[in-house]
Amino acid sequence: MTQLFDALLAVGIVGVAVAALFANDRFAAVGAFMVMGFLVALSWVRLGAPDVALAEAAIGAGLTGALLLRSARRLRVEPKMCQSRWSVAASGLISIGFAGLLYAAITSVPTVPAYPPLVAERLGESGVSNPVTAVLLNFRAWDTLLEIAVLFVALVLVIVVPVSRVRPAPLGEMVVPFAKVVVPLSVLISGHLLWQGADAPGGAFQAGAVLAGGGLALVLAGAMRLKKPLQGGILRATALSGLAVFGAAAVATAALTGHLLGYPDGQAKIWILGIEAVLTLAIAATLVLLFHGSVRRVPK
Amino acid sequence: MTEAYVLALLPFLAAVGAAATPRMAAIWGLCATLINLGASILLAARILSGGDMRADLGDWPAPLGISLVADGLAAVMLSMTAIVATAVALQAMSWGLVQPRGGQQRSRLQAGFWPLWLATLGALNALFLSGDLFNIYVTFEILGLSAVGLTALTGSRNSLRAAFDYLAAGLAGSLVFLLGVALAYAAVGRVDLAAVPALVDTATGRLALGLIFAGLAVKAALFPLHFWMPAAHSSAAPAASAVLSALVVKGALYLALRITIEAGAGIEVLRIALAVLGAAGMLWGSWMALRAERLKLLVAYSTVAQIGLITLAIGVADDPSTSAMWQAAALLMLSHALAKAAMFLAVGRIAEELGHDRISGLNRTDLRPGVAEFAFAIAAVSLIGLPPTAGFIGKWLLIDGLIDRGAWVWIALLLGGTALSAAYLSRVVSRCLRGGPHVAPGARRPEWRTGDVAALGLATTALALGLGSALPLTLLNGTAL
Amino acid sequence: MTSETMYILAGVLLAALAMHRLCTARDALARILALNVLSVGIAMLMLLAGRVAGVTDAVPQAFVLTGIVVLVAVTAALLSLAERISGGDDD
Repeated sequence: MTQLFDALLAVGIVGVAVAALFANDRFAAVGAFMVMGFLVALSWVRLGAPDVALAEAAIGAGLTGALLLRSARRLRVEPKMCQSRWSVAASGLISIGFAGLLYAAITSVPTVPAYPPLVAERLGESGVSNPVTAVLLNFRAWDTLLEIAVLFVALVLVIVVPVSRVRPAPLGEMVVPFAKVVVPLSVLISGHLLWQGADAPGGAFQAGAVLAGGGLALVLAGAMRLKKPLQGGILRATALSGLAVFGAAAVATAALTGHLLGYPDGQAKIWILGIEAVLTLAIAATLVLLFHGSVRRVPK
Repeated sequence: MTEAYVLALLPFLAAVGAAATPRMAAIWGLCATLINLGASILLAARILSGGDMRADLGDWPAPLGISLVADGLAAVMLSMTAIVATAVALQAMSWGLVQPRGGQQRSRLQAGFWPLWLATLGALNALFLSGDLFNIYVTFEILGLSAVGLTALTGSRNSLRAAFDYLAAGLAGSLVFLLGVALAYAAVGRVDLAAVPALVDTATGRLALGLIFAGLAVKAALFPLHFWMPAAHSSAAPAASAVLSALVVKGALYLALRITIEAGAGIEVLRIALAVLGAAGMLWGSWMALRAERLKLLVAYSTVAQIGLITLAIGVADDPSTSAMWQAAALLMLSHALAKAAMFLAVGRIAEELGHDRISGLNRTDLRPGVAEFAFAIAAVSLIGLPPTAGFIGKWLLIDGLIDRGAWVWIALLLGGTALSAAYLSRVVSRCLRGGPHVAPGARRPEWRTGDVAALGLATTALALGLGSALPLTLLNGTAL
Repeated sequence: MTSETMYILAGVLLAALAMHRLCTARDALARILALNVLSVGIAMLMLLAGRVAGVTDAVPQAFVLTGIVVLVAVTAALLSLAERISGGDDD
């Protein structure tokens, strides 16, 4: 029975992916892409990976979808270039060959991951009991720090290459009551996700994405006016605080223990929760700014 | 390993500082660049005296944790980056970035330059020190995004278009790389660099290596995947072009070299592919440079050719446990970084004095050749590989090794490439450096700028490196294989 | 056919279809969509490669999570560049 469900889900994923890739209508394509994200998230729940499922639903499908919808209206549709049938056919053939090769490569070797015994052995020292959080914020915290740096650079880039602002007006009337429900809810859910991330699925990224969803509702409702230098400035400072605090924490740990990102004995949980709390706010602020475009500060 | 920690973290912290306080951005940038230079010198000295170093981040040993590995090759790359970084910072201090287009525009661009450039520096340092493939993927994403930001800084339509193509190609390259990492994980169950030798044993592992190299080829602008590069490198501001051409593509080339060293003898097919594509790129890039009408485009195509040369050197190097030929590739990367950065900075100055960068317009009678033209000429000598430059030592090592093997085809290709590079560079040098009767009696001399010092400093470093090449070679010799 | 095999097939097809679209599409939005679908396909394969005896390895889960966040950042940058090329004559 579950196998039938998995089969349907896998077929569904591929089906909506085809729609997302080949639909002529842009909004249909983006819509299909979002549906694909949610179906994939469902499949990852089935695969016992709820942390990534949450992230995919919130960020991969939700926020990316919102970004794509924003741009779908604004981007000029490029005139269709007359591509020769031969090149399309060649690309198709190569892709089929590539798919076969990839499938054979993945299934031909029985993977023996080196990590699970190591994670199991050291989870006790990591300060948290959710293994994914332990990997992200302790065992391989350097990856995560650099990932925050990616968000930082993207933010700088969007500030340097500003997009035109999101105009809240057309939806205003309808969105305000909606935002009244969504915003407090997003704060609650996000806090819950952050707190339970130590022991159960969740963590800074999922919490930040949910909070960003609430923030976007505020922006669309016109309640958060990023044109105002003060609100924009606070949001920007919050976004920058992520890399600043994480980097400072790395320096502090190096000074305290001699190991970069090696938390002092017995205090790992406090450090991790502290870093995650800052990251949640910073990620949320960064994502809102990435969606909203830059806050142009007028130099005096 | 304190130096390594400083190298990996400081640029990012300074980048945040520069983004948070745009008015102080240049100060953040200069301080961080200078400390970075100091740290890289200290690290190289430590490695020279005490051998390779390794630090498990968070005290979690690999493969679960991520190790920073500082060996001779990493030290050479880090010092190369630090030297070019210093010159670029000097140039950016003195010259601003773009043609002034009104105060607000200009200040926004300048404020954008420093965070992006510092993030580029941090990503390069983190990449050279990293001992883990997935970690390297993340550094590539930072590098790609910040380099695109640098390309787009001028805000012109051409540069924005080039930036979009750059980012789209770069992202496709990183995703192919990531797919390779996923397959590597499927094949051997771990993704640290120490797992690379085991990849050679299975078909899945070899496909993983193939995908990783395909991703790197896009990122390094290796022929025929260089399509995004000339536009991006030639439409950016000079300081940004110098960073893109001298350093950013080196990230991918460095990793290609590192993986071929780790993988040892088992990847013969891949090596041959690299050598063939490298040779093709060398010839194609030279041909396009010969035909280029604009100076910046000529220099950008010369980068395509030089990347081809370096890839060729990586490809023909024998098994590193028995032969030291791989060191030629490292030395060529080093000399190309210095010379090409000098060249882009010099071109920026020349274009500024002339008001254009058409090669046909370089013959002029009312302006004497200045420092920038001189710096360009020295850099050209190093790129062609004439003695006593570092480029010469690199090519010498390469040809010496090839003669021992009797690989005459490769030698002929190398010499052909060298002749072509002499041809396209002399198109510029012959026009720039004409004095005597070609210059009118009352011709003015261009003024000195800090940017000249940066270009000339880099060019002379490239020259001096040939005389002092014992130092990088000692570092490289100590690299444990 | 086990459930895992079906999901592997889905991941492979996602990656291959996206590659095909990436090679043939001109439109900026279509290319960005293709890159996103490719990344989902890779994530799927990464998770399944770490699945042994019904348990999914935590480390590739962390990789995938990192990949998702990185990708939304790059997508935002790509879209803002595309919008500027497409419209932005505002300066």
